[in-house]
Amino acid sequence: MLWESLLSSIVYGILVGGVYALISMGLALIWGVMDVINLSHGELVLLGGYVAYWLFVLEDLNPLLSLPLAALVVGSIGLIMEKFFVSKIKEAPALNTFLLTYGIGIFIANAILQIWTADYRRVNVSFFLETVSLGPIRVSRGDVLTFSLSFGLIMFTHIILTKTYLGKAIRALTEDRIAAQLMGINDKQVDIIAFVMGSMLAGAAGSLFVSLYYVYPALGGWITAKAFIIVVLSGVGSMSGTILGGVMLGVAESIATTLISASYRELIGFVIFIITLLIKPSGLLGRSSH
Amino acid sequence: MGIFKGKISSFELKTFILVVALAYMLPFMVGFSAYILHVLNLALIISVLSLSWSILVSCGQISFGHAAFFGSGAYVSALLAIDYGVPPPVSILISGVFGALMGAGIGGLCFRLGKLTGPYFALSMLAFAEICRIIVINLGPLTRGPLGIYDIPPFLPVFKFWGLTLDLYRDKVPNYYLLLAVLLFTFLVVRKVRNSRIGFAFKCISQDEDAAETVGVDTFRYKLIAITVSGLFAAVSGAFYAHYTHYMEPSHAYSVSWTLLPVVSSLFGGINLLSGPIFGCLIIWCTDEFLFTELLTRGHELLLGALLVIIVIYMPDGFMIKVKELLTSISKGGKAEAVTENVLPRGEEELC
Repeated sequence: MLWESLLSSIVYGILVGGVYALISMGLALIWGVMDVINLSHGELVLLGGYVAYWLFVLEDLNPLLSLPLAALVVGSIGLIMEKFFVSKIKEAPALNTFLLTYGIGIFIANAILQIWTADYRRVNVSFFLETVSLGPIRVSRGDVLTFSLSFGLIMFTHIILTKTYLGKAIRALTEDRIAAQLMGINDKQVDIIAFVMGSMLAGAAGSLFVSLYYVYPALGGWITAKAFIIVVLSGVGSMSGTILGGVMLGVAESIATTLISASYRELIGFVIFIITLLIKPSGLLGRSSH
Repeated sequence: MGIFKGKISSFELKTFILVVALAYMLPFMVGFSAYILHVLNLALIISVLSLSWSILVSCGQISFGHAAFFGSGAYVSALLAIDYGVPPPVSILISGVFGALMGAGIGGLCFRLGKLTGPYFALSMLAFAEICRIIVINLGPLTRGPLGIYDIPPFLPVFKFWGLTLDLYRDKVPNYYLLLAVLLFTFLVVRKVRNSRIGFAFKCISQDEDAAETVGVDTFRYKLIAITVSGLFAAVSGAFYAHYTHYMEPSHAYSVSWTLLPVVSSLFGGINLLSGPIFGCLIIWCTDEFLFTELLTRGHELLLGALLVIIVIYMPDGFMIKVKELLTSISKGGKAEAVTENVLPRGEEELC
């Protein structure tokens, strides 16, 4: 009995981990390229979720179909953020951009509160809630679908990063900004593209998130913390490592929840956060953050 | 007076005395309006919190979780006063000790075990605040869970004799003077610390931690001192808040406001000035209460967030530095000498 529940919690953790990985991918991209830790990342994810929620309620659009739209909306918000705010203080110490994005995050969270109120929102598609059995393990269709979609999106981003000129430029800037500038890469332009790409990934992740969980305006900090810890786990700069980081966090959380108690689910997430930071701030995989 | 020892120019002393005198006359100037005094009292309490946040910043550490100390201080003091009958002044002191111990514990974990810096430390503070909130919600029998605590006794006594009641609590003026004295005491302690050898080490660490370590500054020890003192005053401010407002519940005690307000007001006032967090907080809190809350009844933090963005981009040195330049130029016949640079913790302490 215990083994069965453990096994199914592992499978569930892996499936959830896929969405976690997609959420943290955008953060990792912006962090790696620009050395900006975007503290409003969780709020951007939420925004994508609310856009998908709105399209579902008003137009009866399936969240999987509204994903590109959510990505576009959040991407344009990201463009505004980078062009008018973040690029203004590129020269200032790193903690300034940290405080700046914290302020933007608070702004977005409260703007969401103004528009959609503090109620818990979720996209309920009956098709998603049906379960599929794999031997003793039962998983819902929504989990499987969102996992495969996130996996597909992560692979897509991975191909862009490894196979195109733009991807090469992004990776060059991640490795060594000054050398990349000397090689003739227009770093300002690449910064903007990376920021918009990161925001679009956040928006896409949001529309998947809202079909699995309830969202509310104060959730942003929690999402940012999760994304942050996954990036730390997988090592800053290793963007494909986020899959492993996301799955690790998902599995650890879901096993701990099964073994300890569901009412402490949130607490477990934060305890894992602290423990990871204390033990391994430089990343378990990939290169270190400094 | 011993506490005034150290470098202090007569100009600074004059300004200081003028400001304190003004502050003591303020209740007369607002005509003893209970509403305005109530807002001011809360502003004084949050100023203590801002000052405590700025101690940690002067050591180069940014915290996004001062709500952890604030809320825990509030809970410890309120529960001691209600469940164990400890008189509020004593329970507030105990909560200060609790905050200091908590700060030392978190500091030991983060700075010794984890060697966390910059964003890693800031975000782990955020996680600590969340952990505290969840624990308080789930420890129902001890903390009364999500419903919160009602009827927290006030810190000023109510005298009853021969059918007459002298209610020092409901009258806002005694509270105002008491809280002003608390703020003044906090300010003088913070000034003493920052102008001492310890403060010098803080400045050194905030400018370049590795260099400080190389020249023999025990960085762990000083960071531990900073977070301990910071935790102490943040918890005391939380305790005063709980006793002043009579009511506490977990999501209010550990609200993001208690993290956001010190950040915004310290940056607005200017963290390189000792008095920056105080004036910043008074201005921000009153603006928030009289203007922002009127504009947006729900989610007025929106405007605080926007303000933070504007401050970071357009005036990272804060607003008080401009006032100080103006005052200096007036007193010296039009010659301002202050130089501003866009480095966050510049670490130059002045009195006013």
